[in-house]
Amino acid sequence: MALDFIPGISKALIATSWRLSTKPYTTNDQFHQEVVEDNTVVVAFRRSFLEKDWFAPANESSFGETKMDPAEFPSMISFSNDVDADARATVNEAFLKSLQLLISPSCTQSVKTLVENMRPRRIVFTGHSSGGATAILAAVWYLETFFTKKCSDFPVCLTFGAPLVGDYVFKHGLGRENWSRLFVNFVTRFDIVPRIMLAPKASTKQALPYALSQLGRTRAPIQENDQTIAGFYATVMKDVETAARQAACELIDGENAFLETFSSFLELSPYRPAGTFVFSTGTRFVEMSNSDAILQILFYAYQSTNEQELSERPNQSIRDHHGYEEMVDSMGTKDVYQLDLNHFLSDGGEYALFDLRLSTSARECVRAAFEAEKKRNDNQSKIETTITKQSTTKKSIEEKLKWIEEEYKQPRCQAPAKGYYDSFKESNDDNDFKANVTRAELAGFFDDVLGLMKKGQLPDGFEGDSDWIKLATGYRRLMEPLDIANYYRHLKNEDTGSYMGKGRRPKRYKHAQKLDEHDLLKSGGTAEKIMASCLSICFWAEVEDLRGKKYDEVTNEGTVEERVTKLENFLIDEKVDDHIFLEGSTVTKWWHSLPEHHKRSSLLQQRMGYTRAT
Amino acid sequence: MEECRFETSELQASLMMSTPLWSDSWSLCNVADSSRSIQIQHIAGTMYVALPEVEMNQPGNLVGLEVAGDEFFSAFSTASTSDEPPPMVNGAIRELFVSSARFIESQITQGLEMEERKQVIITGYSTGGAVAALTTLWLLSQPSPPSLPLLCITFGSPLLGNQSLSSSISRSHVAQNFCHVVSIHDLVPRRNDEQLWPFGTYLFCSDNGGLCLDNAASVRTMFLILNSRGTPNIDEERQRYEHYVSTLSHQFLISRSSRSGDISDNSYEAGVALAVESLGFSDDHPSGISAKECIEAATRMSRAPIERASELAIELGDVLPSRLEIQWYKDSCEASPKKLGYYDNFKLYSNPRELKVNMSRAKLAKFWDRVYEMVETNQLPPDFDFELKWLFATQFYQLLAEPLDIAYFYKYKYSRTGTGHYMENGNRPKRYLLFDKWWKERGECHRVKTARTRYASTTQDTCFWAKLEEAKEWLDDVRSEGTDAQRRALLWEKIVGFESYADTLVKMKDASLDVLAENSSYRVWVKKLEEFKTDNGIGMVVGESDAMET
Repeated sequence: MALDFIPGISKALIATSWRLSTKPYTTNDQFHQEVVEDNTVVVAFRRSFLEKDWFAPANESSFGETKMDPAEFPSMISFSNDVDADARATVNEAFLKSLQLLISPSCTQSVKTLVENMRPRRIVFTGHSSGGATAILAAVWYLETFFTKKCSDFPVCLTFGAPLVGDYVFKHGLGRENWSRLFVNFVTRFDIVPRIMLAPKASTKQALPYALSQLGRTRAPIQENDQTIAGFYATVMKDVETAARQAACELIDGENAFLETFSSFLELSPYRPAGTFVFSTGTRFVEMSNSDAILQILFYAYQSTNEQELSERPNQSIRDHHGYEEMVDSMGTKDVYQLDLNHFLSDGGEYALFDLRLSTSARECVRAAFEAEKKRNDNQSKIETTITKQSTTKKSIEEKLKWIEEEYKQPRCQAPAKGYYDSFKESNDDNDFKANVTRAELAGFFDDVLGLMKKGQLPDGFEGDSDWIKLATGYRRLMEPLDIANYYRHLKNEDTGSYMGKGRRPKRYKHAQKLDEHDLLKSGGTAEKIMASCLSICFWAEVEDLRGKKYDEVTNEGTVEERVTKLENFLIDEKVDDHIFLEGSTVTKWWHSLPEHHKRSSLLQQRMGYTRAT
Repeated sequence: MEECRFETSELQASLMMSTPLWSDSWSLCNVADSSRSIQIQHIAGTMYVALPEVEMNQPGNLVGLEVAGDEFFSAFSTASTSDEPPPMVNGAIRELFVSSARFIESQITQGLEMEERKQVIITGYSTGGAVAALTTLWLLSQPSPPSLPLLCITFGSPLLGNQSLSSSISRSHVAQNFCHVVSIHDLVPRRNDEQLWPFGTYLFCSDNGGLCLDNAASVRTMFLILNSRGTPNIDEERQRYEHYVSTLSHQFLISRSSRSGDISDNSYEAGVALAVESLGFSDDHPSGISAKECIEAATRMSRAPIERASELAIELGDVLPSRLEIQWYKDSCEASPKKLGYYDNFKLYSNPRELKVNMSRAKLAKFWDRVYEMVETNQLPPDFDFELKWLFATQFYQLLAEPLDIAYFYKYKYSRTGTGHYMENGNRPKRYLLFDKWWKERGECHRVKTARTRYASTTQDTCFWAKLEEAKEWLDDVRSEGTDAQRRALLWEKIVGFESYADTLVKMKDASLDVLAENSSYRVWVKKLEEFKTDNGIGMVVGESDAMET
């Protein structure tokens, strides 16, 4: 089988990356660079075996983690999570800091300057050990900063024995943007480094500086029977075991109440594998992208069949951290097995994982990881079927939206009607009822999809799919006014407050809006354009709220006068549908109820057909 | 029902044994037992409390969990719908608990002040474990339960109480806070297992590993299987646990494969086989076969509620048009020139529209009755009613549909001498009692407390119409010739009560437009009342009820 992880990544390029990753530094430089194959530049980051470069000294959290700033990394976020703090991706702070140092304007050898000079050449970010972690974050930063959906010269990130960098959201973000494929991590079977981040700082604290110093020694022979090292490896692997077993239990039996309580007492690592992993298992390479399965392999591949083997592990593990030379050399001669869902379904991964001689429970856990992936894919196809396929009992989602648009909205949006918002709000005829049923059915569908997303039961790429974003945006534009109408028709504002208030607006719309905004941002949209996209629908709620207020009132969101002016400006500036200004529309009626002195100087005079009262 | 793909009882046990929680708990239990005193220790942000084992010569008698005279467990919600005996616990254990409870509580309060991550594990070996469990239950059942996470881990603990105790622990959503580690050779945990019932999750250990079971019925079956294997002659039970803790948790890096060698293609079967082996049973031995059946049954029992809940969610979507139909009916009644609300319209007329609405009403009632049945028989996940989706769905349904159920009742079923009123003799569907309880416990907090400026879209007291029907009868009785003076005074008092209640409802705008429609039976009643007052020279202004005193 050929080595084709990513089209265009040759064996020579991997070899160059490895060479640059381990090339010694004579200066204070933080990276090496080299132009190869005339249109590619390799940037290799410096590795460090000092504790402070692995866990930020001032960081007090259990795993040295911190949240990513959405301003700098807008994609490293989970849109389906309502709690802002939880929605942001978590990464190791020490690794993030080493990147930030390199992109800050004050840096003498700036990555920023480098990549700006090198574009449009393709850039390969690479590194060994902690250098690999920096490479991963640098590649993410590069993608976030310079890439829109239309770009083609995507970078690549190749790491050798890199520690885990980010959490589930980090991995999810890469998946949604379709960037996961650009990250390839080479891991030798017993290398401890990709496993270290699964252990809490507290359990490894004492031995870590020494263990790192041992890992940093590339030549000197390793002392046999070093107890500190043996203890360190046992501790790390114990925590890896807990992390892997907990993840497997959750994968299989996520709704088990006892498991949930019990897990809350554990210090569980937030870090998860992201991108593609290439393991060398002895006689072959195994390539995997299923993050859950990789986590299980990180634990189970380390298991031994007897005590003798086990006692050799620590030393083997140090050797393996420097064993990439051999791995790179044997590329092209050894076979590469892809362990993806398709291969897994056909032979259960037996063939690819042959060297590892996995135990029964190990195979169970790997299976569970792939079954979960299959479930996610199945959920996606079910959704796609519901969207397009019409059955005898149920209309498809597309059909329902089309009916609302053509049969319901359009006839009501021409004079002398009062617009579909007000027609729906009054609900006088059979079609209004029919529209209401359709509204509720569509809401049920979009709520269900959001529910699946929240539980991570859809592929990461689902949310980034342009067809889905288009559908969800179309749905939001067409249907949210009806939901607002429904909300105010049933006076829910009296029960629970304004529609736009906290926790009132249905989450399906908030989510659809976030996706739309992100899509606009990633296609190079401006901030103003993004703002307008939200207001163009929610102004209905603002009108309803203002209707209930006195002109000289002061509200939490500012004075009514200011809010009225702001709304008017919006209605003037933006291309809102004409039907909003039909006679009998809530907007028109509301505007006419404003005080005379306001109307006299209002920008909407003309639009409202206002003539000064005499 | 979807077939189970995986079996986790063995995996869950491996997880537990891989964590420091169980080895740290065990070490502290040892210290507590050798020093014969309560031990407290902080390890990695977790506070451990270990209770010492106390020798007990004879098994204690069962006493009520709640004992008159002490205030322990008075807040423990034992509410059950059937005629269950009260929860009982081992009296000797309860006495031990009473003697140390306050001390432990104050220790925890103090100890947590210095902790950043606030979580507590209460543990104990043998009788110490039983006291630990009772202490945990008490802490969890206090009116304002400590918001800190609390976990109880016992080792070889004897059974604590009767079946009612076990089921009320499940109903109170606290079963997941208990974990009982039990050696398959240890007789103490299954002594007296006909009379006493397990609760919480059991981790059964053998030299080969462990397996977790978390429903009482499966744990009992496992007890039976272990009993049938005869009594191994082992004295040093304590050392057995020591052995498990030290060896099982350190064997993790040696891979363990199923002895049958050939892993089954069916992951579920492979998982079950592993679980059976982890008890040291072989699958061709009778006890291995029964253990296999027991594990399979446990999986079915724990998965079924989750699957039922997701099926219900789909059905909820299917009955939604019925609710909207009623909503629409209500709206159009309010807009109609008849000026009758949907309650009166539905009660008075039987046109095709009403028949259609009645079908929707019946369809919804049928669906929600099923939900009610499933909740009552514990067929749904324990946190079902904690889901906002279901909470709001029940609330919306009830607000809209209960008035129609009342109308239907008075239209077809009511007879003064037979059925009695809607609110009497259990005529009100039980589902509404349950929904009322949910809403009171968890829903109220979602309402904003500002005054309404317009009438509510649905009357906030769903029984308003039933109360009105009674008031109508009272007023008729008062006006009728044949009522004696004493009864008349009594009725009048009730009428005044209702009048003021309804008046408040309207004033607060908690009543909806159907109540206030010009020809609604409420308005008619108010008019009749006014006439009656005028006729009898009662000059009472609505709201000033003291006028009646004279």
